[in-house]
Amino acid sequence: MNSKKRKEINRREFLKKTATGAAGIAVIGMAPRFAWAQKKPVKIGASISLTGKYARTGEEQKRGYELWVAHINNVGYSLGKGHLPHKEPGLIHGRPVELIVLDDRSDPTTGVRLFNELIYNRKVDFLLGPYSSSVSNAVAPVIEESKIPTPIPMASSPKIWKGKHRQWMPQIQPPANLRLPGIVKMAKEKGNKTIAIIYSDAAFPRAAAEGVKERAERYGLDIVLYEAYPKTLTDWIPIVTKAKDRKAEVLAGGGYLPDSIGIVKAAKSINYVPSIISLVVGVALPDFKDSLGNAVLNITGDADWEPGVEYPGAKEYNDAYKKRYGGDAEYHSAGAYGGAQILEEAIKRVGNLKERKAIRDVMYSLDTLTIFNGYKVMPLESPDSGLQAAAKRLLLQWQRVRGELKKVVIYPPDAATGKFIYPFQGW
Amino acid sequence: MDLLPVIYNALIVGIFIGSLYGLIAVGLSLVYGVMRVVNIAHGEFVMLGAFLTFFGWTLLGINPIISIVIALVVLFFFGAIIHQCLVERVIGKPMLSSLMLTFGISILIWNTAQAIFTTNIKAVSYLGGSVTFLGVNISKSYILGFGIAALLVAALFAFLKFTKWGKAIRATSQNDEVALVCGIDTKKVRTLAFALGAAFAGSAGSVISMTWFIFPQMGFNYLAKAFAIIVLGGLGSIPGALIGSLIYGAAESLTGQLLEARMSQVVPFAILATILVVKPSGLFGVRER
Amino acid sequence: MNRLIKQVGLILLIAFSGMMVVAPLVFDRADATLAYLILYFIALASSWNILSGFTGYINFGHAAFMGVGMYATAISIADFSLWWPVSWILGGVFAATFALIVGLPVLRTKGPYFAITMLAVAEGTRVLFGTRYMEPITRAGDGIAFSPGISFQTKYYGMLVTVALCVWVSYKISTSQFGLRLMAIREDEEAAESMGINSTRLKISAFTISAFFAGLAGGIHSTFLHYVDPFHTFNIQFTIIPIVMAVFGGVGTVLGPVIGGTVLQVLNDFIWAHFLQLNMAVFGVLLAALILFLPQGLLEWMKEMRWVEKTRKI
Repeated sequence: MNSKKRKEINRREFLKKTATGAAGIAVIGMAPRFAWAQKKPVKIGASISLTGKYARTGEEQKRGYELWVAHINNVGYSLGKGHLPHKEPGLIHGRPVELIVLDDRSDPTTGVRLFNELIYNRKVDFLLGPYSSSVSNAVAPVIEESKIPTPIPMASSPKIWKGKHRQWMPQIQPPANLRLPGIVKMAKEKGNKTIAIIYSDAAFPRAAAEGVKERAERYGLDIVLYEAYPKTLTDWIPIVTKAKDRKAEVLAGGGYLPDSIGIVKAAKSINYVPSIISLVVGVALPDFKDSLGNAVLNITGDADWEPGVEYPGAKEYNDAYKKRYGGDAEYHSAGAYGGAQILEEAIKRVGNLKERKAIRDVMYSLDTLTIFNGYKVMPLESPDSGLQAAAKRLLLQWQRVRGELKKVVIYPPDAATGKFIYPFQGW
Repeated sequence: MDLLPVIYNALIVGIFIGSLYGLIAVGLSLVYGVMRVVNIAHGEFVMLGAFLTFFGWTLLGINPIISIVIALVVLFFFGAIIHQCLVERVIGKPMLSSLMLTFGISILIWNTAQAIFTTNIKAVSYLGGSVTFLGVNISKSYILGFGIAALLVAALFAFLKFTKWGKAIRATSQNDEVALVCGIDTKKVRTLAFALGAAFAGSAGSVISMTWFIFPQMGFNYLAKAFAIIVLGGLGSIPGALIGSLIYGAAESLTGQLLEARMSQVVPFAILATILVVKPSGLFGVRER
Repeated sequence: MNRLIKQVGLILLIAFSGMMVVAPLVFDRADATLAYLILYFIALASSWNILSGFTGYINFGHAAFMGVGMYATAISIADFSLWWPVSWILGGVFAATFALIVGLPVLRTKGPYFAITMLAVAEGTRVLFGTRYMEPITRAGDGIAFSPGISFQTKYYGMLVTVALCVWVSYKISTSQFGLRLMAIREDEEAAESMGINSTRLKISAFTISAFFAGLAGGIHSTFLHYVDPFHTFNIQFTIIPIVMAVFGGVGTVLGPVIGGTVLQVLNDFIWAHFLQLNMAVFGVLLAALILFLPQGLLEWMKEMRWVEKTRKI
């Protein structure tokens, strides 16, 4: 009976490996084939949202990881990290990276299952964090239990880290409560008195909304509406109508990409023209302009990164992205690349793949820059250990520059490439 | 903030939205009335109509309003095929059979759609503006939805009352055995009813593609609402489905405005539960035959 | 011939049980996880069967009980740091209480009305747990991520015990007067009532027992996931899949959910590995084929073929 079961298990394992090996092969196929036969690859696993609500941005994250793998395997180090030891092709000791990507379908529970699969079945050497605070929040206990140091590039909700003593997962993205930087200050400066904050009922939009709320209170704006909408919402007209009825001069908040498009559409369809519209996530993506066309003019939003920022390797990253995928990069892929760079730096500084604890210690003590942003996390002893403390955010606005619709950085002042156009004119 | 204008506003908008839900619910109720089948795949017909319109618009440049008619026709035949091949076989069998069969069909359709169309959320940017109606600022696409719903439902009523096949449908709903004895081809009647239900759902989906976002799993959301509506109105009763949908739409809209957006999803269920407790067969439902 | 089949069947059953008992000790984590998931879905299918199989009242809201149990356990550990066995049991208790409150009004409806109302209850509960008013308790969309600090083996055996208990209770019901009365309700409720059976009280009892086991299983599973949130916890998948399993194995039988749970979960795992994109579609086709060609389920069919003893006991 046992041998029958064992055969069954082996067959199942074989089939599993074959089926999803197809995904892995596509990635490995990029590495030059000659030298690799001898060197055992370093398996790095990632569960990414390839389908579902976060699919579009999850795809960008995957691209960021893939670019990093390509640079490591072909060149030996990622952009801007040429000063580190172990410069030969491969991660260290000439060992190439094998990226194993699984689709968590934008679903936290699938993410948990997949992380378990990566850790215990595929037996990966390292992990790269998933997309979204929701999924990251759910897999956090699994990562902690596995004691594999894992950078989390695309989770901004500080609740994942605050008071939780996370020992194995540093945050790469700036925390969500810092979203939409400067918008409240500028609204106040322009004389606005009322603000409506609407947000999707999911981990990071909630944290972002809390951040905006706190700043609104601090600057003395009157919060006429502070309301969450179900994350499965597809019709924003009712809630935007509420903001309009309460005469909110500033409309802020949102959720993931579909939300920002939906909110703008809704405002347009009921002819609600606040003085300022400021939404998270979607505004920075090219899809925003593609879907809405001229309707995006003068809408503001935030991004952790834009082509043109001054971090080491950032410009080269945009060029590499353009060459491989066409079009400018945006912050999701940059964040993924930057997150992988932290792992790379920690591994190269320790020099031994098996010393996970040492690698983790380095990750928590690094004070450095990646192509993405500044990096420094709360130390291991802190109750907020792992929380990102150095990364900054930018505020963008879509403006007409020489006849073309472009994203312009309007805040903070030292990174700004244009002036804030006020007020929002409507459609 | 004056309460009265807000309530009035919410009520009017709610009725408009409710009419769109009604278009979906009427089809579901018709199917149940004729063959005592609760079609769980009904939501998928909505989804297919929406995607049809989306691809017609983006790939072929077909005016979405024309797509409503296309969706009507395509889903009519699609529904007829589904019925002939699959659903007809569980007629007369215990309820669990038809529930499970239609559930299986539902999964098959949306998962296949997901594999083909990908899950990225899409929309048709067509009717963007708004008009003022009865003193309320309403999105044009809501008006369209109401118009289409009113048109189709009126047509359905006329069909049921005046045409030979319409009367056959009513006869079969009342008592299918007697209808059979009277010489009515009840199998054809059932196929017709199912096809009509699918067509209505498809046309609703078409309007929805202009109003809201579309994605392969959107069907379930509308199915849940349609269920609540037809149980509220009484299974098998088309007037019940209509009145139920207006009540549902109004309730959803009012709670969204007066309480909060998330509560707007709860209250309709609460209403449903209350009415069922008071009148277990719904507002206009009849006792099982 | 039949005797041989019966003996083989018995051996298979014993071997299967034995394997499930030693799974976490013998298999590697991934396969043991599969065994765990098999147990979880058997628990859901079997608990669903207690009401719907015996009384014929198709419950389309089973996920609500599972979900309430998951939240009860998660909150009791995250906020009150209760000892895990207590939290698990609390999951079952809360779910049973919830069933009692809901059952009193809802069980007055019949047939399709009941099914759809229960669906509405499940959906309504999901949405309710996400609203502002419940937020202080449930954290709404944030979800609750918690660390119960229990080993995999503990969770596994907890689930094993739950399944064993649930199946044993099903067995006890099927061979008792209580069970006979439930089945009388299934056959013809009016006739049963005219014979003096208090169908309301019986239905509520079955409903509550069914909910208890779903809540208990859910509670254990929440500690396995370390995470709950309204959207995923009350997902309709957790109503539908157990129903399909019960139907496959045989509704109203004791071992039906066990067979259905095992076969379909293994199949699901295979499909998931092989046809990732069309995972659910294949499931859908399977379900449709099942209903068209084997509607009474595997076990009942085997009973009809006399391969298995035609008794209520299994």
